[in-house]
Amino acid sequence: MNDEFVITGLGVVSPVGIGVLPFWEAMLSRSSGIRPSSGGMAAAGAPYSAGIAGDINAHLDDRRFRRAANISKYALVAVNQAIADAGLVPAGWEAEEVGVVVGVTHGAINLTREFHAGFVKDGSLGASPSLFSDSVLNAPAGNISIALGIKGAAHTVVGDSGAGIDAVEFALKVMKHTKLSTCIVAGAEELDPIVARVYKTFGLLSQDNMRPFIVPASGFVPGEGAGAIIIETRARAASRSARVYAGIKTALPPIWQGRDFNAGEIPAQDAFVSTGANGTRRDAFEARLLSGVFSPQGANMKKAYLGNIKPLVGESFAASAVMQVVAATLVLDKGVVPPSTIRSGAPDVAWATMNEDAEQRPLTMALAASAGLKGPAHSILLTAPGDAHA
Amino acid sequence: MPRRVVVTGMGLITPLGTGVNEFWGKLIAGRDAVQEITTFDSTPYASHTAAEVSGVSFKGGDRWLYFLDTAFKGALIDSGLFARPRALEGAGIHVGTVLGGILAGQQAWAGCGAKPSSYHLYSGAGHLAEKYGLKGDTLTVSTACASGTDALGIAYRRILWGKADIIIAGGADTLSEFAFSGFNALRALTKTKARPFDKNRDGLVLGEGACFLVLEEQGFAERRGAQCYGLVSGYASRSDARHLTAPDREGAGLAWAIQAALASSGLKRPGYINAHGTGTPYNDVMETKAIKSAFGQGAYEIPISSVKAMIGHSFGAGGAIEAAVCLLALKHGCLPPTINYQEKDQDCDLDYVPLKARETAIDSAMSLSAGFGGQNAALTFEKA
Repeated sequence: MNDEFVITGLGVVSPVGIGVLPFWEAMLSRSSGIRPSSGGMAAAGAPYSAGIAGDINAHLDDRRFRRAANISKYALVAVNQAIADAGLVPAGWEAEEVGVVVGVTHGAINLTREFHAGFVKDGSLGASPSLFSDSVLNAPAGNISIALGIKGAAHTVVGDSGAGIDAVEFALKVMKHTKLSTCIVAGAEELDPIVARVYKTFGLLSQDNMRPFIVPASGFVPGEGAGAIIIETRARAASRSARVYAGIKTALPPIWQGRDFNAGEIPAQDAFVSTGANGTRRDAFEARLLSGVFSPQGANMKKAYLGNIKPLVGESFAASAVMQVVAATLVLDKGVVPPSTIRSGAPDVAWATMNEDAEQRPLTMALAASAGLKGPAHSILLTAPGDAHA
Repeated sequence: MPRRVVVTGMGLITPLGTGVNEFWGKLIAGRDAVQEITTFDSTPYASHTAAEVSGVSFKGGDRWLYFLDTAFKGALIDSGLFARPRALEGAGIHVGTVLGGILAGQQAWAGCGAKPSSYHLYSGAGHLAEKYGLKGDTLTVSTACASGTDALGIAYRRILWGKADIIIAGGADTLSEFAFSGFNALRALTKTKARPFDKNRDGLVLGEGACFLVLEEQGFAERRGAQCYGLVSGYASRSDARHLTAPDREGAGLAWAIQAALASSGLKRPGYINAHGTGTPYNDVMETKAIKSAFGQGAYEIPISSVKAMIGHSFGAGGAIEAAVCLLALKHGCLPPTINYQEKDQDCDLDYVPLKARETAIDSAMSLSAGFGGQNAALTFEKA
């Protein structure tokens, strides 16, 4: 049984750039990739503004996937970055040792709608077989397994904003009890005007940008992209002298609103918290959860630096959840807490620290958490590479 | 003592009926639920048949949620847990689905359903959790046509590993023109009948439905005096890593899944295999090769059948329904037939329990599933 897991590789495709470096620079400078809607998004009467990833084709070398859905391309590029970052060579992997877990929310919704429109317009002749095959939600995981020759388990976890963190939890549980020594975890999402329009009809979209934890809630801005991390057993990483970004473990079991939890599982240390709040009323649930751990009335009563990437990259559900994990990992790795995007004065998190400027602060613990739009809250605990809790 | 996982309840809604007894009785009788499609106009297509759930009232609600709810509630009642909500509170829910609320999605895309209740695949698990007050582990798994099998397998592992004591797991999907037109475009649909493993098989028929099993830690189940259909004893999932839609022609991925599931259970050879058995030319040869690769000459000793000729291919529901079939075969000592089987194919030369159910006591069974994305999954079951 494996008990110790580490992160050895990171990858990001986001509206602030393709790659981990532009993602980190955007965190440091609070540069947002969210723009007023234009083109097809605006024409469809969808969102007021959106976070759109750049031209992904320029970053996709493997021509087999040129016609794949954007969600698969985002996932493939982010995973390839993470694989390269980890120094892994995807060849000769044993089926028992390497697995893939992908978190998704809406899937390849553009091609799915295109397929649907084809048979509605032209009947049976309008239904494209290639579009249909991409409509399954496990297409990104399947494409990753094909691209990298991974013959172990390739799972797809479906959920809302917490799905990416749920995917990480899923991977850790499987790794703990099986021979799996390396797991590629990704979250991916693509923007679609009709999906955005549905959220708009729910009254969930902000008219400009996101204000996590601010009351009254003003809504979220849709985004797209992918995040990826490589998780290895500490023994496996050590055996190949891999660079270790952070230790990783499950933090709290999935928690439903109104449910008690035992925050004592989280060590009493100052921490960076990569929150999943997205400017909706659900933020209050996440705030209560975090205050139960870190506030003066909480279990651990230590300083919590609250960060939130969503005003930078938008709400891309499973994708932004894995980006949250990447953000928390970078804070530990760099020893720098970026300026917070959360406005001070948010009443539900008034107990927390939201620094106005980047701060040199070597922390040994970080938490990535997301309460999502519905369902339970998920959380992941990260520790500095040499920390005793890792 | 290692934890063991038992099945204490099952609920089904299928083209052969709702509930365990109606379904099993018709299955063993070899009833064919495939008929002319009524839920959409199939005129533009070359194929016009499918296995639909009929004789139920949806009261204007969502068909997928109705399927989920019917099977879920049926499983709770069958297990005796429906009357014990406090025991259920910490229970988890695992849902396997491929297209979820696709019918609501089609309406939304057409601009006539702005707020579909089942727009997201994960809404089904959330709906069940909210309705029945379950606050345990909630998971929605989508691994194409292996979704139901994986949902059960992951639930089995979580109980085995001590993460939960009760998980209600299964799968649900509806027939839709979306799926029908897709499989039609892939030229995977038969124009007549599905004939799994038969020489003249020429494609699959689509189906729909839902099935949930109540999985419990054995000690937990025994303490509350629960009935027991059997043990879930092993599970594995493996990838072909070759093609998004076409299965590995040699069945290597499925063979690995079989071998890994056997290794996790300690079984040498199951007494029965419920095959994925879609009736397409490629799948059935691939699956036969996988079974031979895993069991060698022993493959010829294992009775194998596919129920898809009777109930169609119901995507995420399929693996869950077929798991229930394995457990019912264990309980009743009777193997469901592969109907429509008429002529032996030299590439499919195993014992496919043709045409008529076979009474034979078995101690173990295995269910196989494969799907788009190169997904392969295997579950094993044993008598408790």
